[in-house]
Amino acid sequence: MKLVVPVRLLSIVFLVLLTAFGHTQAQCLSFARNIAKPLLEPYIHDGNYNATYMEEGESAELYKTFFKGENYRLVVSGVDELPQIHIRLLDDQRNVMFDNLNHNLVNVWNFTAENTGTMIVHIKIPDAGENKKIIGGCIAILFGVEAEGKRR
Amino acid sequence: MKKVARYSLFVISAFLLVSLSFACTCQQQKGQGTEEKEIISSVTIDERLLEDFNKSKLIFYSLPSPLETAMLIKRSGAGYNPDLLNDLHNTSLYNTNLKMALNLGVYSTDMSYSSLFDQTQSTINYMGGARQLAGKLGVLEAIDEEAIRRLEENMNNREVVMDIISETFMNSNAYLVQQDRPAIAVMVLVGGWVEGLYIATQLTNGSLEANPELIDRIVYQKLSLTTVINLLESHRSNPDISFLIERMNELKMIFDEIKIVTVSDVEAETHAEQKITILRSEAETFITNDTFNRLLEKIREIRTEFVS
Repeated sequence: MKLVVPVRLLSIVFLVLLTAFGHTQAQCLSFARNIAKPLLEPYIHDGNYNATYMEEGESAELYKTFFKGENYRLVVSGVDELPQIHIRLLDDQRNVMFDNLNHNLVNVWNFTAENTGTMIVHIKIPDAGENKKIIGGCIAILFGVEAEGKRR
Repeated sequence: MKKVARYSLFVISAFLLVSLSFACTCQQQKGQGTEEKEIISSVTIDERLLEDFNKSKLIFYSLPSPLETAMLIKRSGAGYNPDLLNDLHNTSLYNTNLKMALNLGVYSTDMSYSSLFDQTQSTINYMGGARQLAGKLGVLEAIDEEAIRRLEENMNNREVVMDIISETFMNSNAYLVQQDRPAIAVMVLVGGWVEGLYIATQLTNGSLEANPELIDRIVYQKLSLTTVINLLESHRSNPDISFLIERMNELKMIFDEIKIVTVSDVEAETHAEQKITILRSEAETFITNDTFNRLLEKIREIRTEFVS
């Protein structure tokens, strides 16, 4: 019978974690939909969902094929609590093609592909300062494609 | 007492499972596959970038979505052929997670393809088909009645239609991830990608010469296939995903015969004021008639398996 208490405790912890997981994911969808996606305009969101919870000091990469003749808009957006995100676009040899450090850490940028190739979006949330509490939150990496009527 | 112990085991396992889920979500992969390791070891990059890369916890693989695929087909100058779409009557056939997910992707591509060619009724019908499958998969809220109503009301505004389609696709994907079913979300993406490839290849009528731009789009799906396989590999423990990996590797064997030769590396030209970077490179592609015919046949075979 001694096991009953830990089991109850674990059950509660499990339920809390399950709820928290669903809640975090729901928050990320809401963030991607309401905050990040509007930044794609007037480009049309391609429909791919890349959003998750990240903390200061963490980095992520997204692999995407850019197609010849297409115009893309990249949006990397994090919740307000997070610091500005460092974004780099790398080619398949990991050469840096774009670095937002050179552009005031801007989080929206357009790309035109003159040939088809796989590109890598590398993002890094700057480290928290020493002895500071690490902050986390949702980030979304979204791509827009230029719509038919808007093409140059 | 035994019952309690068994329950403890269940709870602890579930606890560990949920903890792991926190660490690995959204079709992301911890660590890197062989290919990325090869890339990183073959080039010289600055140490800080290498350090960041090694610490990269999350990897996202982004496939051409149904909407982007439909745009690529349309911009290549190809036409609309309703006979290529998956029959909506097939919906009742799909009763496993694998079939429901694959065909949610298939219908999403058919819907996107229809919308790009201003096929109003077909677009609405495929939105309905996708909604049915979303319901069967337990993510009915991804394509709610409001989305269908908005679609009907805005059928003459293609941009709004595309926006609604992209939103429903994102929702389906996100709700599945939210329910901690990322492998199912991957199946939806793969179903949509294969359908796009099927439509594109069928529209060539088996000719390498008739529409060179469309052929170019198809040939370069070799790159997307690598992304598809990496994405699937990150969920290999799922038996349905293992099945898809096998099928995609069969496709890869044919795609491997296609040569893409880089003539010049990527160069970037950034226009800061316009906030745009132009990516320039040159490559040549080589594909034989025999390879193309076998590619067409393999894609048709896999797609038939998905939709039947």
